[in-house]
Amino acid sequence: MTDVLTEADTRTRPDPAAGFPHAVALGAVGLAAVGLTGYGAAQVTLPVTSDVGLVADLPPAFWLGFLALNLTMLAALRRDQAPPALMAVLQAGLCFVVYGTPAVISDSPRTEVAWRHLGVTQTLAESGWVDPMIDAYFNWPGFFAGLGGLIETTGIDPLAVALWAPVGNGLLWALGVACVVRALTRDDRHLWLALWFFTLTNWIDQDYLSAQAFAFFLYLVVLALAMTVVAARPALPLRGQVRVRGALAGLRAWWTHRLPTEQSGRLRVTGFVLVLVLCATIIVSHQLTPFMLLAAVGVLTVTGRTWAPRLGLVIGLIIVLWLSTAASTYLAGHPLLFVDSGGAVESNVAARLGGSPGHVLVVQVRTVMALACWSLAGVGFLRLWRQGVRDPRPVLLFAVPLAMVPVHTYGGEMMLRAALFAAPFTAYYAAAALLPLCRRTQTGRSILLGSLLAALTIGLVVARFGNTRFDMFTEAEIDGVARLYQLAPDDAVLIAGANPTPWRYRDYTAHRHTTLTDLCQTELPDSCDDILTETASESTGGAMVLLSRSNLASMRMQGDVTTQAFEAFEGRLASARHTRLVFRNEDVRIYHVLPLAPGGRR
Amino acid sequence: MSRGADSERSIAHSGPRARPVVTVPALVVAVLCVAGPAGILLDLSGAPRALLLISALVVAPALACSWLADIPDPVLTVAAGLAASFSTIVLISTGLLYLDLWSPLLLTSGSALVSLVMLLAAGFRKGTS
Repeated sequence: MTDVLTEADTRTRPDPAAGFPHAVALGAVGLAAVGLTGYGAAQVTLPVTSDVGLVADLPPAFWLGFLALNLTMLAALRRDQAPPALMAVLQAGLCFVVYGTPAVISDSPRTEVAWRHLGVTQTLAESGWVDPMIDAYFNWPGFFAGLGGLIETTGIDPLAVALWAPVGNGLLWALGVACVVRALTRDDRHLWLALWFFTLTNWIDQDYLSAQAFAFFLYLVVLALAMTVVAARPALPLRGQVRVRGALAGLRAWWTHRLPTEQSGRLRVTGFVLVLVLCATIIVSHQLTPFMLLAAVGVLTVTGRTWAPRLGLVIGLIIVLWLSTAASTYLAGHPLLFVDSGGAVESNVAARLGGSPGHVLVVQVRTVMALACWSLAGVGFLRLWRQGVRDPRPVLLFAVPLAMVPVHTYGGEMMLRAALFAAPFTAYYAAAALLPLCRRTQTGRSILLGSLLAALTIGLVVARFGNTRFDMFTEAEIDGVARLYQLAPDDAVLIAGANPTPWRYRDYTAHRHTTLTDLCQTELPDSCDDILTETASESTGGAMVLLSRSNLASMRMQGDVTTQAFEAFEGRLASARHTRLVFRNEDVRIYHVLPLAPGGRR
Repeated sequence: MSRGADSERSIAHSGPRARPVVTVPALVVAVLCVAGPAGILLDLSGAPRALLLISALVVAPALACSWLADIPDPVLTVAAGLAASFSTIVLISTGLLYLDLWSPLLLTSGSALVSLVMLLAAGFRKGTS
């Protein structure tokens, strides 16, 4: 690893035992700060009452705890050599605060997707086989099969798994990012600052119980292995070879004469096999990550940075094999890649900029956070370049996911996913920019760094928890959905107002699930009544329409419907001759829409 | 926190090393490989079942993989071990689903088998090095 700049190499290393009481004190303060944030979060009652999300509802105790945790980390970073155990405890504390706060507030998993994934898992475990006709999940069932196996074998509560999955994923991601950053620098201060930055700016909210979160951890481990035990470096200078041998021959000589970074051939082979196993797991588990992986391994191969030149080819073959067999049902009706770039921009950016003033503010904060992080990373890149650290790997691995954005809309989420895959390298470079601010002798700079961390903390809470008004569910909503499944006749179509509904965790294939926003698009006009009638008539059980607090909040905040239009629609629904209210509590109403009998009579 | 010894460790890989073939982690893996399927057959329930089977499914393959791979970086060792454990669970579960053989006992037994193979490979290699 000749590319590594080691600021740590020039530091004197004092006796670690001398700072032991100080480290213990810092650890105690850090844990107390985490406890204070937990105490503060426990004071929040659902539902969240503001369009900007949790930031408006969290009490001062939470903010004091979070600030104290940041300051503790800053104090630890200013030490000449902070013990790894202390830094790990503080980092774990940060993960708990960032990823675990919703679990302290509520006993139920956040986001509709986590509930849906429990339903996919249950369907696989109960049926014991894979029906690829159901939907995309059943064409990439690996993660859900593994989760189902783990839950069924160990007997652990699936809801508890979904509730605490973000904390588990956050810790695993931090471990993966640590491996990647350790492959790039030996400076421990750089490592810990990068980890802190990664967690403190991770507003992308993909850490719920999902194949994406799982595959991202494996992706990080594969990259770490590819940058260490399976890594190589060119033995000859490219410019010199091109000058002496000409362009093509020079390039070939430069690429062919690579030296493995790892001296042990056995370790290289073991690492290669491990990489292949992890890649296979990613490929059977997730639709998008294999392509990110292929692109990342591809650039490492092309730039002569991996000892195994055919690694990308093998990964590509496994992907093709999977797509042409297990995932072929899904691919028969859907494009794999390549949509027009205009569509990608429209779905990734423009579609997210509307809605209520509070929601627009949250989106703006997210945009500013992303741009600020990337700007800081740019500064870090220039700083490292000036210092002679010109390792191309982090900049390539940062750029590759972003280059994939025009290739696929991924349900309008491609920009978010790309930002997630680029985040470890954003953090690596941003930490390089911030390193000069945490010197022990520079108190003014430390105050500047502390202020920046405080600003990032506020930005994180706004950006990450900005949708909690509709993606954190009340007990009444959970009860309402449970009643929906009890009341629904066999074969009835289940219709929720909008996606944020804690459903599909059971009876995943027993009912068709859809939403008013899917059926009627926006504003729920009068024509929506006819669509509803037609949908109810598609099954003998009719349709069960569930309207909830979070449905209305979601539609209103994202600009799909006004409160008046929603209430007008519900008024028409309630007064219709063929509809009856079958359940009601403070947050949920359930209507049964009867199917039309032959001849149009009910 | 220093990884200054890494390079020395890498060099050491190329030469013969005197190590006991059986270590405490290896014994733990071997015990878990037997105890996991036994826990299913005995129909354990509650916390003991959860604790035993999480250990058998997650800890045992992770330890075996770490012992086999012998990666110099301890942080990468932990990450790779965990990733290998999860991969084992996912690949075996997926295979059982496609073969229409889904069962917790087969999953646990398959995972134990993989762990034992890694353990034997590591023990054999370390014994002959």
